[in-house]
Amino acid sequence: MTNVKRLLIVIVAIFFVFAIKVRYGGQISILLNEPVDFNYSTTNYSDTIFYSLIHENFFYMKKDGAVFSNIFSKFSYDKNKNQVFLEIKKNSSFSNGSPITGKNIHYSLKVFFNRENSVAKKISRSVNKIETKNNRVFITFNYELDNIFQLLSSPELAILSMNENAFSGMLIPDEWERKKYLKLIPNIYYPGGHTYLDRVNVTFDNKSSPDIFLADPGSGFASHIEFKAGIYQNIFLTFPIGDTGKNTRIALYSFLKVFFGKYEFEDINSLTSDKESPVSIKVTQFSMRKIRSILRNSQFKLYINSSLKKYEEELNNFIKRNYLRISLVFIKNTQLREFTESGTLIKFYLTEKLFSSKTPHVDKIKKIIFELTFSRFSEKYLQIVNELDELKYLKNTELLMDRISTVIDILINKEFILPLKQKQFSIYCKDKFQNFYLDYYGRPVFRKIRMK
Amino acid sequence: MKKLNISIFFFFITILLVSSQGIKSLSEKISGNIENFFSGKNQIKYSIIRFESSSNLSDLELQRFYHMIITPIERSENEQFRDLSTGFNNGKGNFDLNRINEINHFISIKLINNMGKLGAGIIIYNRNVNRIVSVKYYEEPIKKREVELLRIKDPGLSSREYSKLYDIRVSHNLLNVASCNIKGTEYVFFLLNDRIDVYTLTENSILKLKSNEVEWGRPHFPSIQNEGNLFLFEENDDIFLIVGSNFSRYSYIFNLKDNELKRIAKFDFSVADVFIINGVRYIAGFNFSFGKNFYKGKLFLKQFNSVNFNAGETYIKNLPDFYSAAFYKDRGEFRSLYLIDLNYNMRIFSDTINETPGSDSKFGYTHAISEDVIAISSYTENNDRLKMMKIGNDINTPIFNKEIKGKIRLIEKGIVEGKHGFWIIVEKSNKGFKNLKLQFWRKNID
Repeated sequence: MTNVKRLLIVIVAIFFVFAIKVRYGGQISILLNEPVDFNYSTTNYSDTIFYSLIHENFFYMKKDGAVFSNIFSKFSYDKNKNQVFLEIKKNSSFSNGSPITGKNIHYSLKVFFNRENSVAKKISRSVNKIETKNNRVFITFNYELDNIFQLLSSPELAILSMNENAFSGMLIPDEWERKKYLKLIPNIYYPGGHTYLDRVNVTFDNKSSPDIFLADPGSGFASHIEFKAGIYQNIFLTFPIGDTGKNTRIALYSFLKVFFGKYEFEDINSLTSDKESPVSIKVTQFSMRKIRSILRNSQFKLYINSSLKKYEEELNNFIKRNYLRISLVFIKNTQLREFTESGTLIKFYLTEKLFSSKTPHVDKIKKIIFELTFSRFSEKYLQIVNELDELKYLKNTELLMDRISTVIDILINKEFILPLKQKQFSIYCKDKFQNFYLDYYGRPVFRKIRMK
Repeated sequence: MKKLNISIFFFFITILLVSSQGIKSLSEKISGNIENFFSGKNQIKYSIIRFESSSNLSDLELQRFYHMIITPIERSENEQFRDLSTGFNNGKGNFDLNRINEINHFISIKLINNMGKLGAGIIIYNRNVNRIVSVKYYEEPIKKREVELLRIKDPGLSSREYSKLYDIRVSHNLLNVASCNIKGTEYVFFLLNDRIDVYTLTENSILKLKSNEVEWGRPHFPSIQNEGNLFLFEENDDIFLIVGSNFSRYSYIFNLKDNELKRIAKFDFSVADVFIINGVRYIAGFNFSFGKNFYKGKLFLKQFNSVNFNAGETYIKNLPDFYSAAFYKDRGEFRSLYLIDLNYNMRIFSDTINETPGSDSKFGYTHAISEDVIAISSYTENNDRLKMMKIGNDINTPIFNKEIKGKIRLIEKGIVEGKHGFWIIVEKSNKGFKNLKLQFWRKNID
């Protein structure tokens, strides 16, 4: 056989023969923030992506709004009974081989309902009862809910085991070297089917050359293809109990704005994004001298969501350099309620929120109110809720914007919340993988990614 | 009654043979002419690149006739002939002309009607010297009945050609198939994701008798694409079915009684065959790489114990990981093992499981062996090809080479009406919708 013929056979083989059966194997690396632990959390974009790898959501929403599930073989909604029926796929297991049962679904729903999450609150308020029978679950509601399965496709609603070392997602942790990397391998029991890749390496330092990373939109990396996630992440300073002096509030806000100014964040003059907001928020920023003079004599705790833990060391140094007496307490989403219910008075809470540009502006405002006002049942809070309730009856865009402006005005001026910074994201992926795409919430779907 | 049936059968065969004389004679003259022309010219590669009809033959009849001509040529020991046909329509054959660079001589055949006779003009063209080197014309009287015989599923005209006996639309979830004859009734078993369906075959239809659920149990290894094994064997008038899959740790043995399948035992590998080595019977099988679409490279050989399936000792032999495996047996004795590895190479192992020199040819990913014929899928851009080779011959010399409309997903050996052949599962796409077809291909006369 001549060399030319051999070459032709190889070319034909590459283009045709290898196309016929999906090939397993290969690995992919992704640069993300280091997670605190493996307990489900979706506060920021990086965490949302990371936890989607090891925890399976109840439902997923396609771009056209259609919903599908890798865990339920049947799901339906009976309008007459206001009842959702879920049937778990036969023989479904967590990563340790233990069965996924109706009890796990019930437990996962309870955890979800306890989250500071607007969708969770909306659903939990309307739930009458949850019944389980082996691999079947019946959720009965007090009244009819529109698009219930779209609500249940919330990224915050994941299938959780009561055992910390069992995961429902497509990958499981294999090896973790703090501050460097975390190696994930396929979960052989994953109900959605074994991934094609052998390994996903999550890296935490910028020194590596990852296959996938997050960066500002339009960054133009020659070696990577940009996928517009339509996701932005805002940092808010909130005041859960509201009992703070205005000067202290603005001084802390100004101080943090200077600190985060060192990082790749954009300024923001709205609660969501400047493009869509009808109101431009102007908060007078104090000079460093004034900040120091106001805060130097105060001693207080700044509670910070653990998703921002990577700034801990730098922020502590920044505080020391300015001779302030602010102590930092990092807490997880799930701990916030425990803290407030145990009587801990949280005056200042720094946190992040993730938004999709596809979500209507009103819904984002609702999310902020329900998740960041900490249900302070004061006159001001009830005024906001009342304004929000009326929004749904407004068809006129101008009137709608007017009301939203009023709500934002109350939120800012009545010491609920101050927006600090914003970061927008695109996902960049090397052109060596097939089936790479983002879901409705901008998360890369790894289930069917494979080497080209 | 039985004697009467046999008499009718032989009467019918006699009618077929007598009434097929004209067509058979014409096809033999054409193929004989071609074989004679190229006899002794071993370096020459040739193909039919034009096959047209001005006769009244339909496309199906034309296709049958074409295969009657090429079958004896393809059986020739020399690998001179290349079948480039891709289909037949509008009274002519379509050929893959992208491959003509491999060819030295082209053949053009034209069929005409000439006063009740079917005539065939054969032109052979030498492309090296750019001229026609042979022209022949033959004709034979053809009765109307003969032409009709070209249309039916088993014309009995060629003793060598394989033909498609069944073409049935089946469920998307069909993983595997097996068949057998029990007391004169043809049974077909479908393994689906969660059940085994039992069917009977009749002349023109397939009837579902029973659906039997398979409780796979744990551990369960979900896969994106499910695959399954279904092995059937008969022992002391009992029918046993063994099912395995790429999502279950265990395979299960069922005993068929009155169309009911009763689970009697489980194995920790998927069973592929039963055969004899050095006078000892073994159950042989493999394990899938669970959750994936290929097998782990280990051959399990378990001593066969018809009283207690789990009693025999198990031996394990190492192999490369592979997509498809088939055992060649001679009168029940294991002779060799044919694997298609993950690079689509055919790998051949002797009866001592030592690798023997194979072929550098690449194929599709599924194959099976029935008696001494190996059927294998071969991937092409649009439609796959079904190729059959005689065991022991060069793997690159097919005795049958046929384009299949769609993608061949699985090939399994099978017996229908007492004749050995192959079940193939074909995936077809039409306007974005996929459907599965189950076909049975067999030799017309064994």
